[in-house]
Amino acid sequence: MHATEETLWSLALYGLAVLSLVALMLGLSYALGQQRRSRATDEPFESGIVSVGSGRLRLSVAYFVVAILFVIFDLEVVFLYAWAAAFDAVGLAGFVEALIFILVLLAALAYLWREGALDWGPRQRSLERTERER
Amino acid sequence: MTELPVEHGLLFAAALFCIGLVGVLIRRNLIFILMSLELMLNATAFVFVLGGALHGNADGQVMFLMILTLAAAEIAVALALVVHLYRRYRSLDADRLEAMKG
Amino acid sequence: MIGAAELRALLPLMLVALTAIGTLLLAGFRRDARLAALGYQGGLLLTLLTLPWALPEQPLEVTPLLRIDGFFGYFAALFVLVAMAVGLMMQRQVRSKTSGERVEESYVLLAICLLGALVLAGAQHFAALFVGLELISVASFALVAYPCGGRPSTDIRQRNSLEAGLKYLVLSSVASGFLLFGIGCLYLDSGSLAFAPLPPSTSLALPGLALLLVGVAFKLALVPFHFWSPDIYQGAPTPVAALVATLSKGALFAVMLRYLWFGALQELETLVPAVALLASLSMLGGNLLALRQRDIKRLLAYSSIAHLGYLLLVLLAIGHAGVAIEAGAFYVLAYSLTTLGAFALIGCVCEAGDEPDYRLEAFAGLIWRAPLLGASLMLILLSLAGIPLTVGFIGKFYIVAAGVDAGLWWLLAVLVAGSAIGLYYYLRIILIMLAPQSEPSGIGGGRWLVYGLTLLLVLLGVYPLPVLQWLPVL
Repeated sequence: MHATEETLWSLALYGLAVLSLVALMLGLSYALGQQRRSRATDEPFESGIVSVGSGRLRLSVAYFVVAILFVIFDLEVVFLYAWAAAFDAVGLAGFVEALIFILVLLAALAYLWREGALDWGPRQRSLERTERER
Repeated sequence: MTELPVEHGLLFAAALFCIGLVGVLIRRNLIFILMSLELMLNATAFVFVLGGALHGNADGQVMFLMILTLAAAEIAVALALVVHLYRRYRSLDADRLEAMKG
Repeated sequence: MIGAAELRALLPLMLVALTAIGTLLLAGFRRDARLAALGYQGGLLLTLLTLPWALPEQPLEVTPLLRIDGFFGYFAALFVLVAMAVGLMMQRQVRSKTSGERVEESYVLLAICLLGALVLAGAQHFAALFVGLELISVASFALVAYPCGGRPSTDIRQRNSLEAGLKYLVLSSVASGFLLFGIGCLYLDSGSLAFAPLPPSTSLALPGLALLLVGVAFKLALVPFHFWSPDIYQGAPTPVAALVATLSKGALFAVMLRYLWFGALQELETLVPAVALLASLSMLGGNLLALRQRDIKRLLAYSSIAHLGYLLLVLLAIGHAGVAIEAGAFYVLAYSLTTLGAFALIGCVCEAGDEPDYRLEAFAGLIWRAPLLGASLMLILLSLAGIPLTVGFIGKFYIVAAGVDAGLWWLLAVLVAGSAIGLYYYLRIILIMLAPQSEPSGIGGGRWLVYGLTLLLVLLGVYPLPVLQWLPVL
């Protein structure tokens, strides 16, 4: 298998290049940079800066709503990419189908907007209601 | 460009699927259970991509997009339920869900 | 290419989709449970009325994915009716509760479930199977956990439905994983996703079909993949439990019927022992486990496991008996009708008070408290047991006929044994109901739905001819 060997060689060469680049960067910064020790030098976070507070932040649920909206509308784009790739082949029928798809999503967006899922900050209606009722 | 045998791809997908399945079975944290579910779905999506490449038709890739969409929809519902679970029990432990038996 | 004929054939699907979107927009702009229910029922009624017009004379392939024919028409009509009944149950539950829970969205989710079921009824391609199945699944996760959407409280119903929703989600997704992996193997093998016989001499067909079978068994809750279903039935709101028991199982069964009919018959030969094992385990296991249940919803869950076991017999008979498709189609109708009646009655009797009481003792003295409801319960239970003059008997008769045609003697013996065990616990409930009244307790609303379903159940049991001529045949 001549072809296989060739591919493997180039892969090995690539790995070697990556390793040497990393070694070069680390070595240069070690040789050229200044050496200083202070209280927080050995801490993993941004070595040299004392970290403030806990890393386990309690994110608001509003953040979660936006994250889910992002995931859903992100996937909408996947279908539109597929349509774009086949734009010439599918023609007018494809255009109508994509239009229906977007209109359905628009209806969902209108519902979300009315529900207050898009209100950012203290004016979040649905959450406000649950908090008040608790 | 070298051709990889189909068996390799299938074995890879099967391994990924099994890792996901074991994760669902033995993990107790719900977030990890959901991640394992995603892993299982991605393993199946890989089989479809493999089939599409092997037979040279687009069906496999279409199924791949569908599976991605399913995964997103499922995770949206699942995370909403997880938020409720956390509010109720202050925990993500799946073993808390054991009220019903019989 | 989609022309006028194809658009006309797709009308039922489009109407249901429009109902879902319309109800969603209604829910967003006007918070009115009654209006949402009206929109939902109106859309479904329109679908049902235009269905005969929309069905083409000859089977029509709309894109490679869907095939609109008599089989689709029969199951579409059945599923629309089931969804309407579930909608009525939901409406009643809403009116009897004043918790301020928002209910409009449940109609949207119901319509999405129905859309998935219609896609499954017409599917002739694995992509359509996948889309339809997941439409049903994802919408029903949300429906099972729906009571969590209100304000957080210590209500046991809320806690149980959250638990049920998460369990259903995880296990149904695992099942989807197996199903998809199986489909993937078949695709890798044949290069096509259409329902068609596989090319001969392939190595991946058997593992693919086996994985597919595991996924389907999970989703249909067949023994030994049944352990999730009693918890779901117990934790879900009663109308949703009825939906999961009838619509999602019926639709998946319909699509398996079509798949075996169109394609994988000869491949199934190698899997006959596995399917036969699943069927007999479900028939015996479901009925035996139902014996020790004290909770009516869990009892119905085990009884539905047994019923799905009876239905599997049809899948085995499909290659040998001409009557198999008809038997399967009629049994799905009989089972759906009876199960819907049972759940409507549970909603009426067990959920009358502030705290729902699903113990079997909740039925004590029902015949003296509410004679008509008691009689309905008796007829529903007799139909579940398959006693003559009810629709359940005609269904079981059809299945036995198909089994005899196909020569499945061993499985028929198991069916008879399972039915005998089943009769025992159904009769036990009737005895509880006939006992002298212990304490007076109220009866909830929604009894007209129970009466209607019971009447239909008896009418079709005595005179099934009108339905028989609509049954799809090979």
